[in-house]
Amino acid sequence: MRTLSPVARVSRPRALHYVVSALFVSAVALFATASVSWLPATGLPLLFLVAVLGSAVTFGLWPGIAAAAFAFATYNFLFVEPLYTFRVGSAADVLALSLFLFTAALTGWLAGRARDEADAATRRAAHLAQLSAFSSELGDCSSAKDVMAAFSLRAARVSDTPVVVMQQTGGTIEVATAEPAGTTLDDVSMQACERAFRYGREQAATAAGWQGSRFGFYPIVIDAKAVFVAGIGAPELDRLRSAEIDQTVTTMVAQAASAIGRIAQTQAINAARIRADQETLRAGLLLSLSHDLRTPLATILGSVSTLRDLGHSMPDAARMDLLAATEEETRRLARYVDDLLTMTRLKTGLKPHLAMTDMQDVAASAVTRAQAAHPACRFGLTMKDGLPQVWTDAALLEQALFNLMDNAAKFSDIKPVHLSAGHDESGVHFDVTDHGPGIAPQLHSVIFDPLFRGQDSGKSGTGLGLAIVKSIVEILGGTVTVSSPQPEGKGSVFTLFLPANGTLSS
Amino acid sequence: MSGKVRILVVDDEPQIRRFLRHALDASGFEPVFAETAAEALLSVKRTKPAAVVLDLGLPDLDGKLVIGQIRQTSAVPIIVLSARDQEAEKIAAFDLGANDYVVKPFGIGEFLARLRAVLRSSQPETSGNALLASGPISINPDRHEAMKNGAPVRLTPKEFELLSLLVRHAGRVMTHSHILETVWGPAHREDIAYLRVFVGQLRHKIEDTPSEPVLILTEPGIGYRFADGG
Repeated sequence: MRTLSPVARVSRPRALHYVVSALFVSAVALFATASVSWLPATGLPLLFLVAVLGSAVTFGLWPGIAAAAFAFATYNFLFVEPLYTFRVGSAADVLALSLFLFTAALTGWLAGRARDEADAATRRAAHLAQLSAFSSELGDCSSAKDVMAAFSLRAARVSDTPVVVMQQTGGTIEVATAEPAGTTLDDVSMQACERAFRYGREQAATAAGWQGSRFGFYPIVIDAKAVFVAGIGAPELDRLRSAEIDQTVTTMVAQAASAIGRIAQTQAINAARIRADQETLRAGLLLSLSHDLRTPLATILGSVSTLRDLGHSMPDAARMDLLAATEEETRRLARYVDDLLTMTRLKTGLKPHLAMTDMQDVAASAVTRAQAAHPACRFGLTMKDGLPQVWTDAALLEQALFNLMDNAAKFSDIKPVHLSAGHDESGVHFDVTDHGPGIAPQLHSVIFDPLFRGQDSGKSGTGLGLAIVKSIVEILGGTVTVSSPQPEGKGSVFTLFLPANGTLSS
Repeated sequence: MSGKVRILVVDDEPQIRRFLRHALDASGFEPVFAETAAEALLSVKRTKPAAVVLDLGLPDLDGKLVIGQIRQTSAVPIIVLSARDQEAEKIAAFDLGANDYVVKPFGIGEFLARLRAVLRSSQPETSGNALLASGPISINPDRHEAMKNGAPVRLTPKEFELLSLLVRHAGRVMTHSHILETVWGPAHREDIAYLRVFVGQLRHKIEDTPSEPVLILTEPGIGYRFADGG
């Protein structure tokens, strides 16, 4: 860390300051000449000291010292015998003049230094304000780009020059962010910027009046690699103020680098957490799948091996029961495999067979199939007149309607399930209404997830029925929603909507 | 009340209970059933089964916790029945006190053989200092002697302890950590490589073909089981 005290490096104010200082002294000299008749002789040096003080307070140390020297010469020339020469007649005058010179120089020096320190303190306060604003902005940044945008704004306020932040992507260096927007680099500056990227070291701007880059470049280094390079325009300023800006910008560069490092770390942690969550979810699905596949297999293998090993010592009824169990579980397994295959086909981009489809036919066919699967349940069908034909896949739509009724029947015991269809200008909607226990609102978001199974769904569910419905309506460009429980506190209505124009999600 | 051996089957899947009922009936056992952990714990107390067949996936409580709770009051042999086949799951079940582990799906022959094995090894006369025997191997704990088909086998003290432990629990799976803890002490619970060396030496002394062992059987990832010679 470089430390710079305001006294160690002195400022070099512009020539104008010296000219104005000289004018102050000249004005005092004129006034003194005009009023020498009535002004007491002891007042004259004081008048000149006022001019020296004024110069030092207004322009700082060196103009103050220069004013002191000029005042000394003028006073000597105009008011010390012999007049209008720089010679000094008496020894007493030499002493008086020496005292005057000393006092003037001391006054100029003290006042000038106070002025310079006040200036430096103001600038430091301004830099600190920008640094602190930058620090608090870093807390809100969620990407490296955000960090560098905040950096360029604050660095531009500090340096009072344009700021360009460059990044290197695949060998080419380009502007990441700039303040003001649209600032670009000329060829010479670009070369300095490349050096900053290559060596990861600062590249100072070339001093005014020399050929070279008008930007100083500060690499933002993370893991020994320059990720960004910030170009700060070189201000036309004295060394002290340039050094102060350099110090502040260097601090901001370090803050930006650590903020970017922290963001990268947070992102890595978040990515790992998301991966772990997905792993847990997948492991859960796999566990559930392995249980659902193994249980029927266990019954089949167990029943068959029992029949073979022990069948001879069993009553007929027990043998028949084992055969029945084997058949039931084989059917259950077959249904499960069917659902898994359907799901896989749907998820891996099944191409629907589209045709103008009669909604009445599809609905009637789905009801017939549901009735066959659930003989104990009563299925009803209501169709509005004039249902339009829809450009859709009849088989997939029938499967979706069947699954909705199949699901409803499982929870309805022997209570009736009703399918009704209606339409308006936007499309066709099917409502499957049951009088089962209803579905708690907090479950509405998960019932369409694969392998989700409600309690009391009996042992026949695969947890895939509603997931298949959802996949199908997505392919057909429709929607499926649930409204449950119904106002009387029981029962659910699943609504499948198909847009009239048969819009398809690709 | 019949003189049949009573077996408690704990499984929430009705189809599994259904075929196990027929199989156990036909094999001369008296099956009783429980569908939940609560029912199972109650039934262990009330019906005093000779063995428990326990599914780990119960609706009200993890089956592993049921093993621990049964073990607090009873040494009844427990055969775990599970669709979960991860090794960690098996080891946890064994460490909690399960006697054997059968992964679904399984053939009824294997299941009944394992059931008979745990019933046999739980009989009281195999504890204490009585003569131990399984298959061709017999052990006299008092005289620190091991015999194969009546001929003495020379064993180091640790080999003798290891063989005694396995033979005493013939037919049951012993986990690595349980064997290490019993024979070498709690500090050696993790020294599975060490155990492998001793089992290798022991096989050389008692197996006809040490590379194809028929007496000390490996349960991969879990431990060892001494062949149940009846």
